[in-house]
Amino acid sequence: MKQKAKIALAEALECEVDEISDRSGLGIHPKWDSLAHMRLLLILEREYNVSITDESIERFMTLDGLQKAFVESER
Amino acid sequence: MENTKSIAQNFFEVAKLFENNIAVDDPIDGSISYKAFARLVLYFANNFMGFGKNPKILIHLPQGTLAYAAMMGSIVSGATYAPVNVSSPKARIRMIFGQFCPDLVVSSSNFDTHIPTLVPDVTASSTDFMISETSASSYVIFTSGSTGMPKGVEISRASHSLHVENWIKEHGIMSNDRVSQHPSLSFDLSVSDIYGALTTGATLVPFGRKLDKMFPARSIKSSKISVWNSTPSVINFMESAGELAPSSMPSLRVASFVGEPLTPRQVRVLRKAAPNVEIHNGYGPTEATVAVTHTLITNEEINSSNYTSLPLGDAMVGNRVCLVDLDGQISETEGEIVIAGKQLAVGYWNDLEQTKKSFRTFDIGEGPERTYFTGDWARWIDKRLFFVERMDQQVKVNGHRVELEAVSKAVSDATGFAVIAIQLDQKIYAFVEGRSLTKNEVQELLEETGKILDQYAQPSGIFCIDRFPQNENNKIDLSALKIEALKQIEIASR
Repeated sequence: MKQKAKIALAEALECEVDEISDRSGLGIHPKWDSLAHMRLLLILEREYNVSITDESIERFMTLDGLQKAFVESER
Repeated sequence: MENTKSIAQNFFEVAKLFENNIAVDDPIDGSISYKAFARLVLYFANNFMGFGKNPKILIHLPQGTLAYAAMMGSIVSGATYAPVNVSSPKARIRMIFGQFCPDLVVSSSNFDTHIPTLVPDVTASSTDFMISETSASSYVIFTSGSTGMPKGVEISRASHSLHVENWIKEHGIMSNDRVSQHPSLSFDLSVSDIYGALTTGATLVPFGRKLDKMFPARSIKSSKISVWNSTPSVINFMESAGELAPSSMPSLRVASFVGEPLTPRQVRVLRKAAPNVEIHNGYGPTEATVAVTHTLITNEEINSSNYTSLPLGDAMVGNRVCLVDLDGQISETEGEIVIAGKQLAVGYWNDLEQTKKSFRTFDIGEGPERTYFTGDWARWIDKRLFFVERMDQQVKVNGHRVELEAVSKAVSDATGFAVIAIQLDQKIYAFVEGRSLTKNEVQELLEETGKILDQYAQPSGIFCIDRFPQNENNKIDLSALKIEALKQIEIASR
């Protein structure tokens, strides 16, 4: 599941999966700017049925938050 | 113009006349009528009056009912306020706090200070009525400063009233409008929509949630916004999100832009989603109270292939604008935009030297007077004014003013090496001289600079370079650095 989170993020950041480190986050990974974050949320909404709310916008600001959500959704 | 009524007078008249209208339709705090909102304003005003004659109030509240009431309360009570963005890095908020030296902080979160702090509640109310007549300034808005220290721009009550009056008149704001409040409170663009709505009886709708900031087209649609005030680059954002479907924003009557060049393409894209929307464009620096020019964009201008960006418009009442060439002569073709008139700022907060330097005595046609040299280069074409470029290191990122020197300093402080920041395509990149950095080190650096810089000012890339390229005058060759940045971006994307 963690890999799936990285793949979704790489699509949003328009980069390779191995460019994403465990510490990546909005404003910390050079390609993770507000536009990329918007793309990430649209991907999550379209492909993973995530509703876009203030809570989800904030939650998915780090790879860690994204991975946890993917793991939880599998439970 | 001597008849300009004060914002406080206008507000109370309107609050009485339209007492049952909704003043603020807040997605978080709910809607509040003008009658209840006026009582909340008086609650703040009475609290502020307890802090001396012209107290300084730091407003540290999220975009919404409480913040607007605190601002209006400050206006009514004769205080001077400075708004800060609650999501700005703590270090930046501290710097603003240190420079402004408030007598009182209004905050709903835990603001760590020895200064008295008012923690307001949206149900608070007072009915005592007293407008304090004062010559104190209305507000101080802190923008990016080249030294890395935020620079406070002090605006008088008269300039503030005049801008709001001009804005309402030019945009035709009415008591049945629903006006979005999209720009953050520390961005002076917000002055137009907040006071424009609250002094006409219209309803103000805060776009303060992350959802509103990221997907404003959804909020315009769901909140039935009729007047939207923003920066042009937000249209690009909406388009990238695929949120500008044909006729998807039927309620939108007026779209108003300032802060960046507006392109014909952006307008055409927006027009598809809101076919009947009037497009208003304006220009002005924070130092001349938000905007000093205005124009209603015509179809001919939108469809013209001659324009890369749309005209900035004519000077609004009380303001005058001219172009001054490099020899200091007024030019009919191109030059630096120089502003005179009643919207000029009092100056930079507690910085007499910078104020003297920036607000120079100059004759723009009616004898020597106080003027502001904007640093914006512009051109007259067909008697219309067009923005060309900045003359210094200041850039705009999504409408926000950013001093590249401040970014360089933040990265330099974090690395201990010389740094130069540049802008390419709305993004900022920094070059570090004489040091190599791993990807992890770059991320660590960005974590550090994120503690000082607002998110929009954060570099989108930090690159290493052995030596900064120099031109034949032995100055750093910024064009060569931009080419180098393009190369490094390409390498990084392989």
